Amino acid sequence: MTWNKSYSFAQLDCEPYNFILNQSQIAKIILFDQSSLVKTKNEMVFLYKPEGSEFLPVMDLFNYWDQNKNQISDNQCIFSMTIQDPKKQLLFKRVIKILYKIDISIPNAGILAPSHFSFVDIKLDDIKLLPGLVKNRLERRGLLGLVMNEQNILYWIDLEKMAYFFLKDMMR
Amino acid sequence: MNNSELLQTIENKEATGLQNISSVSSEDSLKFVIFSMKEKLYSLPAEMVLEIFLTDNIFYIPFCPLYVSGFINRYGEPYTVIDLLALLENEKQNTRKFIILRRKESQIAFMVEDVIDILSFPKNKILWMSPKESEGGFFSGVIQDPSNDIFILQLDKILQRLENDME
Repeated sequence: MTWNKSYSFAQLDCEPYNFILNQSQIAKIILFDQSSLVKTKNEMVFLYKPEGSEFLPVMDLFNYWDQNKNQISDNQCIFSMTIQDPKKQLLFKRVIKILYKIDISIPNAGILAPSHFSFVDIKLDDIKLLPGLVKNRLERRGLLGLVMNEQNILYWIDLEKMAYFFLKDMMR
Repeated sequence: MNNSELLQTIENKEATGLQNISSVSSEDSLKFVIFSMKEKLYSLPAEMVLEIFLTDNIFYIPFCPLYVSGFINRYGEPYTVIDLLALLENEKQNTRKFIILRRKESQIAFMVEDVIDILSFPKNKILWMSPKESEGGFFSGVIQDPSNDIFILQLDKILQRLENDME
């Protein structure tokens, strides 16, 4: 492996935060359509049913990141991912069952995201790991590393890990 | 390459880059970095301090206790900022002065109001405290200075607190 090799990330601008997501974690990007919203019992987890597709549980994950911040932009899309870990799949199904009395069979989940995103190539050399003492907790919760720029930083997040803790916190 | 593989690759590289850190030797007197917060004076043994760093930019960290203020960017490396006033008195500061600790593996910075001086004090001017005498165990002693008492921070206890809170 060479350190100069670049990997493709999706960069999301959710003012005042900027995130990068490993592109391999994103299955597809769906443009948000209000008419496909099935129910909105809960503002943080809701069900979405695009035409011809199964129910997709969607989380408002970026508002969980900083709960003191106002809602993200109205121009939103949904980043769909496949939940790999069976334990996380199970928790997801349980939450949907409790909230909506619906059984979901698919391991896919969506993340509500702003429409301001682009795909960027980032070298591993440019990614900094989190400092010790805060590293373990933040990694478990899905913050894996940082790209340090002069005036801002990019937070490298793992959607699946963050979604898991988001749901666990919700269930408390 | 998935996230776990990327993370492991970066970790392996950083582990090989860690260097041993030399310490400052002491004699009959001990040298301290003196700083202030809310009109009180505090100190850290000088050998524990790498530098005083100034920056306006502090970046948010989620899922942390109140006294963890964020990250600062020190020459391209992230340092976790502990707001000492928030830890000691539950009151947040908003300053641009940071004491960078000489602990490469944990990359910690203390947010302080002002850095006053770097001074040596004879050992007989220092009153060492037992853990019971120290509020929350965060102080190891007091420098009895004619103008003001200066509390000596117990660094290990502070970092232990952070470690426990981040479990």
